[in-house]
Amino acid sequence: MGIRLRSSRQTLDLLETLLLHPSQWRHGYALSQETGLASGTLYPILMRLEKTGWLETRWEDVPVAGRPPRHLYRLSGSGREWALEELKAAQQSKFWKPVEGRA
Amino acid sequence: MTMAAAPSTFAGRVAHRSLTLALRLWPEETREWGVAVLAELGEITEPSESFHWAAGGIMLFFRAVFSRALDWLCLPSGGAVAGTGKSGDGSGRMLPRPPRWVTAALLLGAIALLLLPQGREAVSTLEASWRDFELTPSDHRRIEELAVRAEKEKDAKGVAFAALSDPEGDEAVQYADRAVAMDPTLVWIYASRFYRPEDAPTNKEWMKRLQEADPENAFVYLYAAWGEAEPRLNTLARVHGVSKESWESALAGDAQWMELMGRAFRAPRYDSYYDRHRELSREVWSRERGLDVALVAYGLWSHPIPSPMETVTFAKFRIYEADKQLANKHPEQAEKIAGEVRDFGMKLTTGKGSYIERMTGLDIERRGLEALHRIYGATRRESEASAALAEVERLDAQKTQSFLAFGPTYAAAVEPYRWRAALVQYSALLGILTALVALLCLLLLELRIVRGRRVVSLAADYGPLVFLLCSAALLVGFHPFAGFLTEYRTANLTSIDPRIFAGRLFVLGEVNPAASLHEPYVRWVVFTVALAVVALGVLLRGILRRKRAA
Repeated sequence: MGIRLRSSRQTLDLLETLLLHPSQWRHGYALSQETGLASGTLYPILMRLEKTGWLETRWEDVPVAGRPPRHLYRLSGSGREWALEELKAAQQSKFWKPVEGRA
Repeated sequence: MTMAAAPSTFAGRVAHRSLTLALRLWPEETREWGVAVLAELGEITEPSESFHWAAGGIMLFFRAVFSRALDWLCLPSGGAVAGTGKSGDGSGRMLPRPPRWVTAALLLGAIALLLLPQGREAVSTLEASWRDFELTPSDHRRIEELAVRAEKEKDAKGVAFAALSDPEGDEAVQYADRAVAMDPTLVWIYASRFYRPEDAPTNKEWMKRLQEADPENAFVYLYAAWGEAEPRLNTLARVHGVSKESWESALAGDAQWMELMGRAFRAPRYDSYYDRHRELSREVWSRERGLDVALVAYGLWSHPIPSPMETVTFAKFRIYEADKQLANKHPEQAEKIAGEVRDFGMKLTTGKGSYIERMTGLDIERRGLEALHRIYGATRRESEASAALAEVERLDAQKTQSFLAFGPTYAAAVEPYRWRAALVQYSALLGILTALVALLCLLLLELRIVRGRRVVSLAADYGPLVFLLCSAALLVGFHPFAGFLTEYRTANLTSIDPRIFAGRLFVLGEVNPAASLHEPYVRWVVFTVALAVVALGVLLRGILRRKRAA
């Protein structure tokens, strides 16, 4: 895949979360709660994933009244393939292991 | 894009306000991520959690700013980061080649070289040479600071140095009095300020104290006599013009002057305090490394030397008197007076004084010996007359030898500095010009006032590099000057001739290209050459355009 992304444990945690419901659009805060990543760590990873084309983003079509539209994220088709490979490789090298109950 | 409504809790409001503020300054290309972080804030109900969320957003903001700055630095001057909505990165237009960080590194490198201790000394010495080592108001402030600090630290020599270097009369008088009050052995500074009484009128109280402190020194009487006569002689010269007769009769009619000169000729030794002045300056300079060379040089070069003309005139008066005594058949009296003149000349020649004082001493000694030769001849003391004549010949040879020997010594010590001085001066001039032009062109490019001009791009391309090379050349050229200044600060005085010290500094001023611009013909030459260069440029441009069109 042309560009190689440094997959930290935090990135792998996020990929695992995004892979749980791959077709579902997710909010940043929800991802932060599920992965335990702070916003200062989460968003740079999201930005990098988006830049490489593995993450799709869009704004909410129908925002809740009185609130601004929220940003939504999910893995792209190629992103899913890459994420699966990355998680598998990380698991084999014992660099990373899935959250218990998810694997 | 709609902003989230401000939360009700204090922590929530702070988080919201800080993120909103960051969003205003967020780089355009990643701003939507900032908006995304802010939009999530409305979903967080826990105040501390919203605070942490906002803190993460602020971190993201700083990352974005930093990343933007890096991108900006990697572009050439005038280039804009993509996505900023400005006029693009100038692709297809003429922009400088090196990225901004290279340009900045070159400029900062050049400035860093000039901020090194040797660089600072080079710049201050060079700048002093451009104003012929005259003092500036900032030097005056520096002296004031030094005097205040020295007084606080009870440093009498520091205060004395301020008194000797300060051209401002009133303050220097106070410094001198304070220095002598702290250390009475520094009383000699009363006779070491400014080389002419018209620059600093002689203070009668000071002269009295100096005569009491050093009664056996001929210099204190010569200095007082000079201060006594000089204002009157200056008035006489202004009213009647200068004639030898009127000048001599004015001096002969001044009883006070005659009295002081008589005491000077009878005093057992001569010391014009020049060595003490040098030693004091050297000591203070070696402590105060930041002192401008002009400050030290100005004080030293202002050191007074009693008027050689007045001293020789008094010697002539004494010789007239000796001749008169001889004519009146009082050869013993005549011999005594002529002997006094010869002895005074010898004291001046062998005493502690400058080159000029030594030369004056040789002249006076010679006059005394000639008079003795006449007296011995008239009284038929042939062998003594011959001895006196031989002494005259020896003095003439000594004088000639002194002139002949010093020329090559001076040339050998000073001439090797000439091309270094040229390197210093021309690299400084070129450095200043290129730095100014480069900075102007960079400013024009960054403010997008000028775009796509080859000349502007070339100046921004090579200006910083030339500035760096010029700074390095300046340091290389100044290296021997720095060496002799350090030697002057640290070595003992006898190893350095003050004329060579002055000569090496003056050589720096002599090759000053900026000074030659004062000459009208040089200005015309520069103007004509500049005009010719512009005309040639226009001509070449026209030829190239026609060629391209064809």
